[in-house]
Amino acid sequence: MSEPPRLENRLPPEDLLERDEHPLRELAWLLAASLAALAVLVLATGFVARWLAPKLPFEHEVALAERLFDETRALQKADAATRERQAALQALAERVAGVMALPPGMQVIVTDEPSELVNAYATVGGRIRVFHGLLRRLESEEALAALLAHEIAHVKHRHVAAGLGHGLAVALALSVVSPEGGAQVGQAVLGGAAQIALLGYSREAERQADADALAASIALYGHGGGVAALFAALPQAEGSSGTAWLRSHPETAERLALLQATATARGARLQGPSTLLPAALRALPAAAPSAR
Amino acid sequence: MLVSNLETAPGHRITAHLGIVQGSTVRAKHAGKDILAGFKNIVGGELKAYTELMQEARAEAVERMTAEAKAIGANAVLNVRFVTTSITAGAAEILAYGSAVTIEPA
Amino acid sequence: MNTGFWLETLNLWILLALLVLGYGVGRLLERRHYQSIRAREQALRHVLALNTRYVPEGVVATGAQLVSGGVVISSDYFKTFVAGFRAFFGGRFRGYETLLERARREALLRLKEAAQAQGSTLVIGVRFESTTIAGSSTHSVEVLAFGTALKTA
Repeated sequence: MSEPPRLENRLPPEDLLERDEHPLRELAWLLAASLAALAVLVLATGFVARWLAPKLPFEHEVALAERLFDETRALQKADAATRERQAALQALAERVAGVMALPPGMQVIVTDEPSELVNAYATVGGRIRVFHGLLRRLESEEALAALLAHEIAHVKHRHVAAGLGHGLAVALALSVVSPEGGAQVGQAVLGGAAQIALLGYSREAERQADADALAASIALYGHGGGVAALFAALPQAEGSSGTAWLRSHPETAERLALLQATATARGARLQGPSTLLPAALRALPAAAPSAR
Repeated sequence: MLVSNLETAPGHRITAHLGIVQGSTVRAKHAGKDILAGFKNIVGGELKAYTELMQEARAEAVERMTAEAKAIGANAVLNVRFVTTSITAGAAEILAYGSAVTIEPA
Repeated sequence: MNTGFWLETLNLWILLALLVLGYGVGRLLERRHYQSIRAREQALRHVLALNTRYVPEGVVATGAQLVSGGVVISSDYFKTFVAGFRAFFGGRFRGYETLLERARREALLRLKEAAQAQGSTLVIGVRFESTTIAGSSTHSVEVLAFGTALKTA
């Protein structure tokens, strides 16, 4: 009879389970991969939204604007001088819009903002805002018309919708990761001043708006002097602060050169007689001492 | 190496019991496969991705167990059993344990 | 950086603090546990545990008693955080593997201690069972090892 089996207790060595990867390195790699995945997701949704949003009918933008902005109250609070200014701005805007072949049903509403920022922007529903800081620097009707034509072009080509769509899509994508982060971004997109920051226009959008502004100037006045005056009236972005309109837009020199080339191609000049601004727009209220 | 869930190795004689050996692994499939499995829940049927997951995990657990057995000088693992635990959604731990023995032909 | 900044990013700082705590103290506790496990495994070498179903040849058993050893170990904040990402990308959860290994070895040791307390040095029919404890945000796992302790002549 063979002997019974031995009973032993052998302990295996400790290093069999390869714990080679340091937990911190593993975390770093996972975080990097997650950030990359998130970046791809945000870029992809942004791209799709930019393409999709302008397909939304303009009436919806107008409905959104009516809900966001308390325009009736502002109108009630306005004094006579303010109402004259707005009427003058709106009249000029409608003249400019008349030569810009806006799609049927699209209208712009232009108001002035009593801030000394040198800026103007277009927002949802065809609303355009011009700051007093910029108005002060424009010395001719042609220059103001060129500015309005530029902003109306953004409305016409639905650049505003694309920018808003992009911002909201990014907020939605981020809310997958962090619900409150996404909500904050969403609020910022729909909220007040951040509209300007997030409505980033692409270079092509700006070039398109410039070309439209030149065409509108020529159609209205027979020359492109207004556009040239608009650029000349504003000192270069790099040297002075407060020219926010220039800073949020691409290289001025590049745009001027393109303008020159387009004008020459059309056989138009960039100089011409200038008309004074309507009286209501020349008499702006004095800048508040605290306002920058 | 002979791996079996039998008490004995047929045709062999056990010469020594060297102790209990174990191998385990915790694994998950990536999110893409999880989402597809979610859709499969609507129509029913085999979730191939998760079947694959469990097979890979089991194979790895058994491999680790036999590595431990080899390290202590055994040439067979008998009485193999499996235990499964689900740690988080979509991730599973498979444990394989058995008796490491030395056998010789009877 | 005014108080506004700190308050708004408070969630982030709390997360970071918990992660550092989880990692630092967690790693320390894990290392200490492993040291204790190794020491006790050496001390209990004379108690044999087998998962055979029958009494081994040549052993005369006069008594048998069911013994068990169990332990619940929780994952730390750092491990759970990493596991969240890992669940998205797939692959091995190294942190959880060490967690489960610790729990199993601890359970087996407690089984042997229970057998020793009864005056037995041989346990057969050892089985493992493990469960996850649901409820809290961090995951805890319970491992139970049970078997039959033999009184040998």
